[in-house]
Amino acid sequence: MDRLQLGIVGLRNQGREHLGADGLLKYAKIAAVCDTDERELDKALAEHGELRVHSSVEEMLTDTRLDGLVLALPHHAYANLWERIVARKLPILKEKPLGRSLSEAFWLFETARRNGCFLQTAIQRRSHPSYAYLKTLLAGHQIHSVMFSLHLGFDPVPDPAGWRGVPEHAGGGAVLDFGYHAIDLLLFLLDDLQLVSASLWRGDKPATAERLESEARLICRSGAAWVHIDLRVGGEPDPEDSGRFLKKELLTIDCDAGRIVADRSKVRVNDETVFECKRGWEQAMASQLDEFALNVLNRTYDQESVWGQIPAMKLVEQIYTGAGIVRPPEKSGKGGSR
Amino acid sequence: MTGNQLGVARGVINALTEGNADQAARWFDRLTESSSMGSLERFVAHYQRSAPGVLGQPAPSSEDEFEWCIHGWSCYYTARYEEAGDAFTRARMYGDAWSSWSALGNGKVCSDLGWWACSKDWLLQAMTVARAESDLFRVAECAGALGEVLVRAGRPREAWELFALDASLLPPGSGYRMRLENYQAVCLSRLGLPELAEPRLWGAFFAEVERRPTSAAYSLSSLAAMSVRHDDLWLFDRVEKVIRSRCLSLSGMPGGIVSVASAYRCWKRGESNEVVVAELERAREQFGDLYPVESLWVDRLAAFVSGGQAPDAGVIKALLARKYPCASMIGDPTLDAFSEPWREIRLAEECGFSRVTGGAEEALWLQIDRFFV
Repeated sequence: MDRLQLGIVGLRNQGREHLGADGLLKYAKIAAVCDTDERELDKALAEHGELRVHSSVEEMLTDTRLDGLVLALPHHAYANLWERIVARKLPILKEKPLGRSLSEAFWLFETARRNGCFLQTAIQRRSHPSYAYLKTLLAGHQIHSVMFSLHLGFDPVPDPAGWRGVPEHAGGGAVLDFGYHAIDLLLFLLDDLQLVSASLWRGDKPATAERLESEARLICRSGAAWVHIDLRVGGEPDPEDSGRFLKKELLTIDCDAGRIVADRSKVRVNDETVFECKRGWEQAMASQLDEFALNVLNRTYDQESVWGQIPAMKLVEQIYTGAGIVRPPEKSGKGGSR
Repeated sequence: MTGNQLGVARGVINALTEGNADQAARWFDRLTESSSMGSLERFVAHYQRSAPGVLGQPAPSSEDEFEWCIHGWSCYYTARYEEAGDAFTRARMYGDAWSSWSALGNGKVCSDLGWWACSKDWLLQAMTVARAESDLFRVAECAGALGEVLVRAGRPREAWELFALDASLLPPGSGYRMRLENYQAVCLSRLGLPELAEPRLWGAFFAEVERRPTSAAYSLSSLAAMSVRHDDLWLFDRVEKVIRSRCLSLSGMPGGIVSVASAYRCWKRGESNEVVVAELERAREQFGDLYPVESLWVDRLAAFVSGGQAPDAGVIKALLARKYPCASMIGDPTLDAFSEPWREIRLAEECGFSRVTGGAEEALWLQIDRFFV
């Protein structure tokens, strides 16, 4: 079977994570990348000699024969690019979130569908070995209570010069940006997640549409289980380095088997380690890219990984609506209006 | 149980779930005397909170968990805290079918006495059991009660989250909706957003003044407390004007708080100590025996204002501990993963009586935050 030739659009954090997984791929190969920043292109070329680098999507699509695209751009960038990209009819693996709002997500999906273009969303936690193991471990168990903390350890005040500092561009704060990962992971693990209440914060004040949330506390139910989600751009203050914050990613589950504690490096059941793996993203990214490649090669366009994003987007929408935050990208549509 | 009794029980529970105690009582009235259910009668009385005949009943002679639990609530509503704590403990000894009720009762007793850390443990325990039982109404009650503790203990952000949980669990049409509006507005005020809090409180007042005067009285007293907190005498003038124009007679906790705010205004305007102390004495009367901790606070405030020797915070704390040995009720909560963020919150057991150095009267007034939500 020939490996799928993929091109990556956007070489910042997520794009680089995809590129870093190239050596582990079975069914795909990263053949080309594009970015407007030449320094990023030089860096990519230095690390991956056979790669073709381009400064625009059009140039990449003209110069290199590709079987699919991996899109890793800022949230707002798709509005202008989307129709031109889907017109090429290439399968697309698009970084989360599917859209800045549910209406934009539907517009992206619909436009891709009209053009006969397969669209899948990239959500790496589902594919991480630790969480994939946890999914199998939980099968058949009665879950009572869940706590998931995801703290990035960054400065909670967004850089006003960056796109995350512009509410219209970001489309949302902690919930839409990285909380989406937590929501998707819990949907993956628990199969169902319904919002009970949400509190969104910017510093010590409730968040608003102008001052998007840097922290969120979500309470959900999944069947009879109660789920608590704690999202923070920052985190607990670092006791050894004032002004900095501690990273945290920890999932605690109480079920009929006892207490299960999982992070990206291990899974423990009642204090006993039952699974260990590398914490990094390489394996998860590779699994995700291979899954996309197999979906394209086998023409299996109806997988959970494709449609699974709609419940996550709906939950995100409910969270913002419930918190009284009306986000700017209300209307989907033609590029240039934003 | 007969079909009639079952129908009544269902009606009572539905009404209580909607937070409608009056409707619950109307359902209960449908029972004939011969088919009266003693426990259900007490159950309804617990929610009415104003049936002296039932509330004044002696301790049960049986080893029945439910009877002791209801007795605990009766004692709680008549400020017999020590007896209430004992009743809830006994209820827990005799069974676990009502354990979220008794743990909630313990939490409320500790909360009223200012034992916040202890209260938090009990309320988390109660909420854990209620969640496991999918008793959503109890979960909402526990969330609201814990929110109240946290806002008084100076944690308005965490309190806001709990009130949001409480609000989201209330069924549409619930009679508690505006009570929660008051709580959320108070959180906004304590988060430094009085401009958002004030319209919500006035809105809640006008929405409830005809239907639920008690809830409306709490809205007004929250506005009065805000006038102290934000040193906004003009706000208190408007509260007073509404009270006069509508001929409202506030009593109990709302009345006491409005009198304290009135005393504060007199003090700020430089009126004589006698005038200020007279207002505080009025507050003291309104708090009365039902609110012993608030009464102690007002006594302390009056002593400061009149230049006398006010009791030290530590002395008051020791006095409370001796009078109401509820600290011994601290449980060893068995909490689940979901409760973790609240378990980690550290609260001081200061009973609201933090130390204030001589002359720092302003700080003493501001302790209104510790006593009132």
